[in-house]
Amino acid sequence: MRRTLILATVGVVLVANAWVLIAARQNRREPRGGTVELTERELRLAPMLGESTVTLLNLAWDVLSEKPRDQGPPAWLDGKKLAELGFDCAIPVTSPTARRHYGSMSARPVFLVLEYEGDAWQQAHAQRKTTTRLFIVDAGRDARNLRQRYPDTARHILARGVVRPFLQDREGPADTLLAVPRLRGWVQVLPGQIFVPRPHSRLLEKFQSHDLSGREEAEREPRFAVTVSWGANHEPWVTAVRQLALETPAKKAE
Amino acid sequence: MDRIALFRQELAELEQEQGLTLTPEQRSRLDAHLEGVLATLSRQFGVDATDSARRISWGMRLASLLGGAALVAAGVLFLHRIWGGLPTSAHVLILTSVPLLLLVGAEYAFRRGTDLYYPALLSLMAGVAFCVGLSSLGTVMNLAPSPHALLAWASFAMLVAYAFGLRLLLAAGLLLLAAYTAALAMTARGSYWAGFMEESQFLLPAAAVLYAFPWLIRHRDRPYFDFIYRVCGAFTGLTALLVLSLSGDLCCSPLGPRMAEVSYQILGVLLSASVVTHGVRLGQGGLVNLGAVAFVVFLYVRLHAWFWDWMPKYLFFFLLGLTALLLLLIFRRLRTRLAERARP
Repeated sequence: MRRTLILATVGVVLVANAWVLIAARQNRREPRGGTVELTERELRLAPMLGESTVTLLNLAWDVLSEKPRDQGPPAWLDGKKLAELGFDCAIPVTSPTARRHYGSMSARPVFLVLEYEGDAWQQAHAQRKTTTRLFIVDAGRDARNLRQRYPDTARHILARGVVRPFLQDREGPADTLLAVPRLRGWVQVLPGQIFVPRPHSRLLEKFQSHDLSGREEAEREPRFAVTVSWGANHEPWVTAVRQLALETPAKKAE
Repeated sequence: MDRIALFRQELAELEQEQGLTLTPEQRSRLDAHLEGVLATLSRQFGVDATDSARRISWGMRLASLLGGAALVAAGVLFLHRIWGGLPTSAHVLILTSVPLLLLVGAEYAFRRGTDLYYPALLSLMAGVAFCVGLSSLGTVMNLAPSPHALLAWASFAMLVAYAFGLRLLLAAGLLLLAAYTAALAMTARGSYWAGFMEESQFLLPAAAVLYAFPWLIRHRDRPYFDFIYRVCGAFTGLTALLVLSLSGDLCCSPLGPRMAEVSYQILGVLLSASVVTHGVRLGQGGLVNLGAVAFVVFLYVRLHAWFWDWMPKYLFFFLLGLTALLLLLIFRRLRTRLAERARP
């Protein structure tokens, strides 16, 4: 009996690991989610913890809020969009039970549209300092519909993510109280970190640091560019890495 | 073990006081029987027959625990150091083989030794290695987190627990299984699975099944597994009720949030009292303690909701103190009943 149980345990380990490999293989069959070359602005090297040699890139994205000069929840993720994503938005935002109703809702899995160097970035860049050029511009439950609306796979990435509604009653850096609260949502891209395997990680090794603040990456010119594909299951993988020539101050002035 | 030692001491005293004298034949038969029982217990549960052996075993266990933890730390740090330089195929090979090797080690230790401690330690290490390995493989392949990992971990823990008779791994497996059912319910509803603790009503069916399981299927060869099922069921159910009693959310009720909160708090108090009563009836101290802790927590939450805002704080804590004294009196009576039950 014990022998059977041990063999079954071995089977569980092998099947679970094989499942992960099959899922990864299926995802990488076709870059249906898009293929984009992003720079260090959008893919920031995760700080190395202890003696770790693992190379991970944090996906840095932004959203266009109600007032593009301020950072805040995405303006496009309003009550109508949230209802489209499957949330129950029937209770008016002025109702006494609205805060509790919307505050207790669970996140829902969705497909997110990430736009690279598009209108959203240009609009935000004109009004405030933006480090990343990757903006989340839409979300949907059906990836095919989204792809039909955003057909450019070199500009629009379809990635997995989650959305969670909340009632916004303050905005701006001064936390100004709104006259009427707004229904908005938080978004999160999944996975938010991208593992860089060999041989691509070799080029990035020299840029890795132990600095946990993240300030360094945000302020400097991008030093490398990484081509990332999002596959059939809308999960990413690195396909190429190249070093960028740094702009000299004279070149920059030109 | 302790009861046999006490019996031997009592018998020696009786013989000294001439209260009972065994014939040499009776004496040898009794000794043979007791030695047989001790050997069986030692083989089944890995306990020591004598005090000195027990003390040495504890020292050995402590040394092996510290040594095992240090070796695991060394292995993890070494892998961290070389991980970036390895190709993906090596990552897959390492992450798959480490839990399997530890499992083989546990099986070897079980076959070789009489002490269950070492197979238990190696099994626990194998379980941790499998959990870390599977999630690391997901990270290496850049996959979004999946609820099915919970099922894989639960299956591993439960199979190993049944193979070697390990309580801790069985508890871990049952809790993971309850989490998996809640995660599946979340997915079926269209929500993101990882938020199952916020919608803890989905944990209640699994909690009820776990608690009722020993009534359906009894572990005759391992009666202590029945206790683990009940403790895990009670823990899951009471934790879910506590979360619900604080959030007041109910998936399918016309009650308002406040009424829902109060209902869950009252249900929690009643359920924890029932767990205490059932624990007393079964003579299982662990179940009584779990129910008692939950009872106090639910009572505190309710008292806080009733009195905190309008009552002077010193009076609130005085009331709390009085409640604790009352509970102390109830538990003293329960302890007496438990002791009477334990008496042969």
